[in-house]
Amino acid sequence: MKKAITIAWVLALFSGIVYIFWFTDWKYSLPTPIPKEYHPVTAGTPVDLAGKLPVAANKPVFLHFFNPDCPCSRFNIPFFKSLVKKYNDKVSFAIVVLNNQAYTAKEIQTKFDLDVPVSFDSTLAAACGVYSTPQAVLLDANHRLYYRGNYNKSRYCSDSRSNYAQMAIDSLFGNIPRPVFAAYALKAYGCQLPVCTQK
Amino acid sequence: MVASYRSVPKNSHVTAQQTYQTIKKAYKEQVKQKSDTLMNYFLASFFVVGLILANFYDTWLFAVGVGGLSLVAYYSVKLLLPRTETYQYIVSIVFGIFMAQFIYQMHGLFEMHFIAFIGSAILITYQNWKLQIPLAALVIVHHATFGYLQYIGYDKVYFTQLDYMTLQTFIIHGILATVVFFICGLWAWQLRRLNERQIELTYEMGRFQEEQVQQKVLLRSNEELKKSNKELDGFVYSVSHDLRAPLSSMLGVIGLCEMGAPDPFMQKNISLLKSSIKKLDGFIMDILDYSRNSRLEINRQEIHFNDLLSDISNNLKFMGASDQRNVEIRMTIRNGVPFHSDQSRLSIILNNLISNSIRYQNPEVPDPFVEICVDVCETAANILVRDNGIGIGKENQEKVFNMFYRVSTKSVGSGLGLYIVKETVEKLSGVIKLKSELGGGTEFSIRLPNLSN
Repeated sequence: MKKAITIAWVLALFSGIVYIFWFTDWKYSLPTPIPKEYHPVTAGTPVDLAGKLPVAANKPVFLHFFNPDCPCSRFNIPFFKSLVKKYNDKVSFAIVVLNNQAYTAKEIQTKFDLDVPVSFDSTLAAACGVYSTPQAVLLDANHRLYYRGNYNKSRYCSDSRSNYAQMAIDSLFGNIPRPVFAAYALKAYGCQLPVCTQK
Repeated sequence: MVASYRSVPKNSHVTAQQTYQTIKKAYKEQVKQKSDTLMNYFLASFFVVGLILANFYDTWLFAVGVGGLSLVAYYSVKLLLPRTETYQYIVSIVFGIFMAQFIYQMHGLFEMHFIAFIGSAILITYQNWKLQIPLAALVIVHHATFGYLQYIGYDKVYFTQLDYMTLQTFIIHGILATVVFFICGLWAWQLRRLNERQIELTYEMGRFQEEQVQQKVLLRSNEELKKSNKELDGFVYSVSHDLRAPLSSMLGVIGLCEMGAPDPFMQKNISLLKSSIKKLDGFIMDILDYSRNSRLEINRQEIHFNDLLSDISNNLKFMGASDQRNVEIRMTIRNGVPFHSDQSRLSIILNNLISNSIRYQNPEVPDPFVEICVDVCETAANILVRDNGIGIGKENQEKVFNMFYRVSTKSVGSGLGLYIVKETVEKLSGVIKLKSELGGGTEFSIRLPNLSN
């Protein structure tokens, strides 16, 4: 009897551990569910940033959609930093925070250890067709949508052949021909956006 | 680390085995306790490492949740089933979970796989190779599943993709990991085996030392016993010898009195006195015979059975009581080869046996006799002393060779005769057997080795 109770108890505990793994890791291995009211935004659609972000008018813009409470977003910080370091002179980088908590721009900048503009405007996500974090959005010099998708096929960003965000920047500057992005690039993976309550 | 040796009661194999098992059990318990203490430190360290790693990517929920549940699983099983080894297997699984936790917390940092090997090495402390199995199984099954999915190009999940993770790399990776687990298991097994052997040796050594001490004590007491026996023999001999001299004087004086006392009443009393003194003298003679037998070395000489038996029969011819008939002494001697032995001892043996036959003749048979048959060969002499006397009942046959044993209170003699016979036969390295029936006579068969060499 005692043995049976112990087995049941241990199984319950291990199930708890498995649930935590699922909750924080494995569920992000699957594509993020598409929200009901989602409207796809195709490449080439102009995105109006006026008043939303202090970015130069004639410079490509890279928007990093970020949620501090999303594990995938947190893991993606070093990779985003590496992109900023590499392309800072050519592209205007900005972070769009999709979170209902009262984070300040300073707090976000501290997390990234970067001095890039931070926006808390969730309408930017809808305007770019973003419904998960982390997501990369690249707008060309005319602020038309050039790329919206994942950073990498691997959520650990360990597969150099699928650095989609970086490939998009490179192709924008004509270094490489525009790649045909596969489903892994365009089908959003990561955390669902929190239910937005406009501040 | 080996349990100390404790003294073992001698000559008790079962108890010794139990003691050995107790020592072994105590040692195992010691290993378990020490390992459990170590495990407390290691598990606490793993949990703290998880908290430290949480700083990198804010994985606090994960560190506290997974690490905490793992610790709860370990300690609750240890509490619920303390007498079993189940909690040790749980710790093996927990190390696997910690590895997964650290890999996740460090965003797929490959080096975190080493945690599995650290866990594997820690488990050696329990000296149980089987504890490697859950950890190895967890690691191998987990990696094999993901590796296989990646290898077949399964696109429904979104997991780590490594350029260099080909099937070949994966197989080498798996083999190396298995080798680590195998070696750790091997060390655990060998450690237990060596320690058990050491316990065994320590235990045997302790037993050996104790046996030696006991043997020394035994030797010393043996020496002391020999010495005191020798002293006692000497004492018995000199006392017996000294007692005989005054008895002889008394007999002489009584002889004189007998001649000068015409009174029949006095004559009767003197006769009684004489008979008592003779009995006392016979008793002392018996003691002297016994003492000589145990004290003196064997005096080897050629035996002439004809002469020896003639002397004995002449001496014993008139020994019976006045109311007893004469007993016919028959002799058959076959001695083709010379026989060597101790003449005086042989004389003691035959004297005692023949005198017994005369003393215990059966009044109900018409012709009492004692027959002595001697058959000599190169190796031994077989002597048979047979009579048609009163015989000895079955129930007394085993006891007649005991010291001071007499069949009944009516028996005459000291009760030493047959005891001396047996002692003397044994001194001459021979054997004596008795065959008798109450009222049907007695037969003693003696086999004495020929001491010609």
